[in-house]
Amino acid sequence: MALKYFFVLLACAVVLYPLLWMVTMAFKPHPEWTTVAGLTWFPENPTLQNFEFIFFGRAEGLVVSLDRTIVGPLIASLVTSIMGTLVAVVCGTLSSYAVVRFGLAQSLPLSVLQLRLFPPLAVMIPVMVMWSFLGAVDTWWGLSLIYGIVTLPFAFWLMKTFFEEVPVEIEDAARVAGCSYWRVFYRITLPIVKPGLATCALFVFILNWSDYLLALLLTQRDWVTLPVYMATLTSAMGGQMYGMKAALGVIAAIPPVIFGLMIQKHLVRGLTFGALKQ
Amino acid sequence: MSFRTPKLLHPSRRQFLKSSSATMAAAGSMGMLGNFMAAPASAQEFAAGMTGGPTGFDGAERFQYNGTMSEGRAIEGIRALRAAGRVPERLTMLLTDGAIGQITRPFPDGAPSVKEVWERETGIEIDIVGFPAEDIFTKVMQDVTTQAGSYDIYTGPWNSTGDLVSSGGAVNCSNFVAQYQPDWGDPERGTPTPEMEQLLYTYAGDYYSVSLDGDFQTWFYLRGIYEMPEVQDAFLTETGHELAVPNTWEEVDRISEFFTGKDFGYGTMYGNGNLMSPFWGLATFYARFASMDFPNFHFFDEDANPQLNTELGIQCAEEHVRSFDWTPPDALTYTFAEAYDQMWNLRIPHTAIYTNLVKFGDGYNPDGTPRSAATGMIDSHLPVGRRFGDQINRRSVLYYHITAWVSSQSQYPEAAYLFLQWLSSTRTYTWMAGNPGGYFDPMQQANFREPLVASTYQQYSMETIPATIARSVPSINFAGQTALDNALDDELQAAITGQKTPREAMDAAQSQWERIIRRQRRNGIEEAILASRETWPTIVDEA
Amino acid sequence: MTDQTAPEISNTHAKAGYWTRVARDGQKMGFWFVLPTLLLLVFIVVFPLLMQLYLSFTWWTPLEGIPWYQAWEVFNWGENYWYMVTDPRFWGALWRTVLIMIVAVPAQFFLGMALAYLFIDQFPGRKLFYSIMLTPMMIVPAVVGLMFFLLFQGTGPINDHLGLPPEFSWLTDVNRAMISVIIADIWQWTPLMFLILLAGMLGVPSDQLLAARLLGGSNWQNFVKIILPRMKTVIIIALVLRAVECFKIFDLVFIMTNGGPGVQTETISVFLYNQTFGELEWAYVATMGLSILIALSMLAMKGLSLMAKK
Repeated sequence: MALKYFFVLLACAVVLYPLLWMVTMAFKPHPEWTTVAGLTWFPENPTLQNFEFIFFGRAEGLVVSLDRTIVGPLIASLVTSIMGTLVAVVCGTLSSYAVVRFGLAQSLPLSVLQLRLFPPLAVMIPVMVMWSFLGAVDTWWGLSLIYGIVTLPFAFWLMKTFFEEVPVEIEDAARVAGCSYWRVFYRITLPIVKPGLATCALFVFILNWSDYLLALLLTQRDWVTLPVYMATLTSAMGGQMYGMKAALGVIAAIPPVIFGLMIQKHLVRGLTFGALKQ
Repeated sequence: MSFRTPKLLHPSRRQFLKSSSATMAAAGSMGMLGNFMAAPASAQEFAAGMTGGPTGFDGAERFQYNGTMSEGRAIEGIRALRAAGRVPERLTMLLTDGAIGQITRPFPDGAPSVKEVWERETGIEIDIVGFPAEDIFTKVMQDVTTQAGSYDIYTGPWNSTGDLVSSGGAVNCSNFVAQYQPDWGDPERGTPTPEMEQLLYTYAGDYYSVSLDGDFQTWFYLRGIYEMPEVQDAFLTETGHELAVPNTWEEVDRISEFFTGKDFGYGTMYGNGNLMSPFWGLATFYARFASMDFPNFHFFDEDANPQLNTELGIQCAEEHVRSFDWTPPDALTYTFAEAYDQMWNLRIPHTAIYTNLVKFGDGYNPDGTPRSAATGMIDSHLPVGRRFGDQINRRSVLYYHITAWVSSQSQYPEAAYLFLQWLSSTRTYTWMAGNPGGYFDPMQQANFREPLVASTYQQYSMETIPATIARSVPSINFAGQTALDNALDDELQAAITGQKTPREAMDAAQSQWERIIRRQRRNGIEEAILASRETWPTIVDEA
Repeated sequence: MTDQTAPEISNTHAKAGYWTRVARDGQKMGFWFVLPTLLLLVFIVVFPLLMQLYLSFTWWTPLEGIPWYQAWEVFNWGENYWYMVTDPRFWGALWRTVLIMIVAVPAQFFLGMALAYLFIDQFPGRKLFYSIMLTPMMIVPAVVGLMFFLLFQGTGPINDHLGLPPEFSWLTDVNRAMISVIIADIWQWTPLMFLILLAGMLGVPSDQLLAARLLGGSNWQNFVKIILPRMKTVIIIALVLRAVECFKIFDLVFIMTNGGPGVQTETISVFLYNQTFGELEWAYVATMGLSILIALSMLAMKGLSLMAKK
């Protein structure tokens, strides 16, 4: 048992080590960013400078300034992740219901799955051409649309498993009582899968929020998202701005971790496209 | 930020509002109404006969202008456009992030910022979006290819002009130039030669690029350390030569080797301060390459074949790789900023680098503190070359060199052009070049006669830089440049990190270049190569 | 974790007979339900594939001065495919991608398996530790890239612990850059393996385990003889999932090393990105993209038919 705790604690330490470094870095003033003056795990002079800097573009005691603050990217990340989630969840829910209940489009599950197989960069040229044709580059809806599409497979498969768990007898009973198909779906089935729906939405939101590549390719200025903003936050005048980047990293990391822990129970199901349940 | 950086301007509340309201563009532009009117109050401060320009500090009249001057023509052009309703409320400019301060920060004390003067005189707001220098052209090409149209003005490396023009991303400004007559090539104030104007501002005979920089790699060294008697003695005993300013690469390498691992009271030094990292290190290689033969060793021969794996090319690669032994650790991760830091902290004795090394690291801050540990110790010297008989072919290289283009997606190309003309004309540019808030470097003749520039770039640079410009060869600047540079860069890095011998690397780079040229032949890359050969200087010095 | 009967492999078609009857009635609504998804699929699959096929037979780049649909003017009879086959950088990138895959995925598998084994029984604090173990996979990959970028700096904490001088660089060293990337990937995705494999282990019926214990086998023997064979499907799913995701690796590499030093960590995705915006060889990128799509589809079909046979 002692040995077991030893290994478990060791594993947790390995997991927490990089996290701790980044989180504490976010609260360190710049002399402590490197180990040149000695390694400090916890800031000796804790400061909110880094956060102040990314939110207001400047901070007491720092000599560089920013042309854009985190506010725009934060809004962009939120809007596009939420809208993308909406697209994926609505389309995924409807189509998986049709597949499960009406036996329609039996090839859909596999073709949807194939979307996940390919590296996005292998199809990016046509996508960029299409998006530019539609005038969708660097718009909230353009990014939301692609988010909706790439996370659709997860939403589809996740909702499929939830619908499969709904006893068909309930629906049949309602139908016998004279309810239309839409009413049955809307009044009976949806409320039953509501927890599943919430799980699915959170799960898809995490995926959208985590995206870096698509935003890198399809945004320019107005709708740059958090991860992209974080990666470009350098200043040749100021060298690598480790502390500010760490602060950004912390902000970007918080929502998915919280949501992820909230839906812990269903993670396996989501990540394996419903092949496994927990 | 282990090194001292200049105090950049705290962005105004306006600027904060602007970026925070990216989603509320309307609100953002409403905040700008306050600037809309020209400010006649300051007009009385103009020197006699002048109608515009900065005010409020001693010497401001040197940067003021009237309708007979390039800047004045630009302003009048805007007024005419405004009357015709063809000016925007704002112009958006994608700019290398380290240069922003030069436009937004007032200089000197009492002065407005460059941006404020422009906005006051024209009512057109300049919205600057910053991006790191190495990646900015990627961003530009993304905007061009996806038709996002996010910017009116792009900036990026001068080398990429060819790529941008071929992609149709830049506006041909020849008509504007004919109409508004910028003073870029002014024989007194502008570029030293008409050829240089052509090289910097035109592509394939038309005006596309507006120079905002002076990236001619210039040699700096720590005179303060060279002159120490114990250094002199140690050098003589160890190498059998006097320690003096080097004239040739051989002497450079000798000095680099000597200083590596030595401690003369400032901590352990490394010998080679030149840029060796991906992207930036290419300049070091090209400069060495150009002087391999007399008077020049071109990257391509007369038939447009690459010369990378010729004997001289391989020798150059071997020297380049060997010099890596003397660089500081982590040198492969340095941008120029980290490389400056090495000299400012006295870790390297010499380096050929961008001239704003001095601007940020020599001299004193406004509060009287030295800008760096190297303050007062730095000096500069001419480019180095190789000895051929009694002559030396000193060569430097023009590489990167922030350049602006008017985006072909701009709704207001003429207004965007006029802003660039105003910004790059010799009076405004001289004023801006003196500003220590960013890294636009001086390059026009008028710049080097200006006390304000001399005060930030130090008197010693005022002669060295023009002499270096005259001896600089252009790096690759035609369509296909990115592909060529990347291919060579990757092979050089492979050689530096020891996975390939220099010979293998040059062989590989050669075949990559040949492939690229074959691929681009349809687009006239061979003609471009030959045209580029014509622009190399032939000036040589007595040994 | 409360439902001990899972996991099960979902079975869509079990009651197909009954449902086809119902389907007739609901089909009309079902059609409208499926439509948006179908439209999105067609939108994102059909046009892009056709366009890639078209472009891949031309020289077209954005530098060409003509719009992409006129690319037939610079038709090149498949020369791009030959260029790809003989391009050392393409094969290098492919090899490095596969290298990351064959090092990181097995490492994640074994570590994940070992961790899952630790968590199979209840113990005080299990829930907390379990949550901690899951965090890495929830962190934005770009942020993970940043975290390891910070850790592996010459002046970062790793060198400090190991007593190495700042000169000992990780991200700019030929070999160590790749190691750093792999370590970061292992750190982030071992939890996924752990999660899936643990679910698989818990799914092994406990009476079988109990029986084995009563027969007196050691824990290890029980594990190998009883648990492992029953986890076969789970293991395959976990490995396939990770391998597929690993092949796409981009964010981590791009942020940690940008493919450097030189091209030492350039994976296929990073290479495609560089070719798209650096070299601007769009037709060539289309060629490679299409080839990768075809190769992966063939692999997937092969895999599926193998699975079907078993």
